Amino acid sequence: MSRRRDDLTANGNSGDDERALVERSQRGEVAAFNVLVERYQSAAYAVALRMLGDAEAAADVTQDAFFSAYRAIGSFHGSSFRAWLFRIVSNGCYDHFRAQGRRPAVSLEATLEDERDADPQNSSDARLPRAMIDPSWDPERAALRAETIARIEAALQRLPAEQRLAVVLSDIQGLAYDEIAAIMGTSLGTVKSRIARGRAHLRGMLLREGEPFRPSGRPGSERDYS
Amino acid sequence: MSSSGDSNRWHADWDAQRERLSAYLDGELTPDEAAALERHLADCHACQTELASLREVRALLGALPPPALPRSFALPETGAPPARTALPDRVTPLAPRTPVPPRRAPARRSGFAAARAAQWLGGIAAVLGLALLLSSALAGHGPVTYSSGGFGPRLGSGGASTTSHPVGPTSQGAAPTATRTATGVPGETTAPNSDTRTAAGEPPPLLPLAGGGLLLGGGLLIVGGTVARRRRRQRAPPA
Repeated sequence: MSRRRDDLTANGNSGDDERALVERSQRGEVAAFNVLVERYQSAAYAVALRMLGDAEAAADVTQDAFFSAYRAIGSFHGSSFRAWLFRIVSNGCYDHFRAQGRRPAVSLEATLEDERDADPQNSSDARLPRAMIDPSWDPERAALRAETIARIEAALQRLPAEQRLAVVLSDIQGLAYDEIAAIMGTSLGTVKSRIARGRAHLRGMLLREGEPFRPSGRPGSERDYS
Repeated sequence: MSSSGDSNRWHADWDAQRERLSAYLDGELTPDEAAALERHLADCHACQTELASLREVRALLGALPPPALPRSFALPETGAPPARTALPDRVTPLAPRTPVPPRRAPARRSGFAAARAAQWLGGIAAVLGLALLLSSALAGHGPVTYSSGGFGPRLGSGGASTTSHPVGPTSQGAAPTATRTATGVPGETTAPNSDTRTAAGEPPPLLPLAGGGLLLGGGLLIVGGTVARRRRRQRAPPA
């Protein structure tokens, strides 16, 4: 099950190179820091955008995150610059929510309700509607329709922020659970739970919105799950 | 189909089972856990379906096209980077066990000294102007008549900003002016006096000396207030 997209070379073969860049940045070399910016700006911006759902706000948060990271680089002694940077980005996203006085997404209670709805009795036919996806749908090399993209983005925005961040880092950025735990400052168990809940919640929303496309009939509703 | 005893064991806590399936999908189970789950999956339709739908959600998210960068986020290579917001110097809403938290008080900016000098100048001008106002008012046995109500708060807030340092994140920018005027600073204790004076309106006898003092004091007050205000605007992002 190695679907991890670790093309971002945080801990990969360019780890030494990255350590050198961090050290030069710590000595005040903006040029060295900018190499790190070039390396991670796409991912950082993508995380901010998926968290905030707003391109302008995401750009501001990303820019601020890099400024903050540069100013604080002296205090960075960890092993993963990427995890450290993503933590600053996610803090920036939470600051943005706070500044807007916005409690991101649905309440926890609503989430739990949704999850109870999504128990196996109801989800036995919970396959996502094929029509949402191009006819040439191939999970590995999928081209999504603009409409489908908009749906997924809207559904993401309705996730509770912690679940959204966990799912974005896992399923969009392809990070492993231990790195997500470091970014979110929480345990592996909590990461596991947030990702599972986030996925189940998304599935529920995408299914509901995709109702017209849903295959007819409810196969398997009488199945025995005792 | 699945044997009911086995299903009971796996399905007793469906949330936990979903977490197992989700983590299995990501290769995040131990080999033993994964092997046991695979044995159960082999003949449990409910879990197969759950796994398939979780996999599809993950594939949909993974297929989202990466957004186009609106611009480069590289820092300017000359001089210190402009500071829009402070560092995330606080605990996140997430669990605060922080292995890699960036924690640092906001650095002093390069333009800080110049602004500080301007602030001092403004403060001195304001105090000087106030002294002249007082002396001219005393000489004329009457209060000042022109409306100087705006100067007190302005003066006060300009002085207060020397001590109240915004440390927090962007949300702090909305801090109302009123709270800032509350802190005690030299220039400020005099501000309420000038206000109370203007409140009692009675035309002053126009002694030439007092008139000159008034003009000079008023002018200096305006300069001081403007400088202090500009300084404050620099410090705080627009509300």
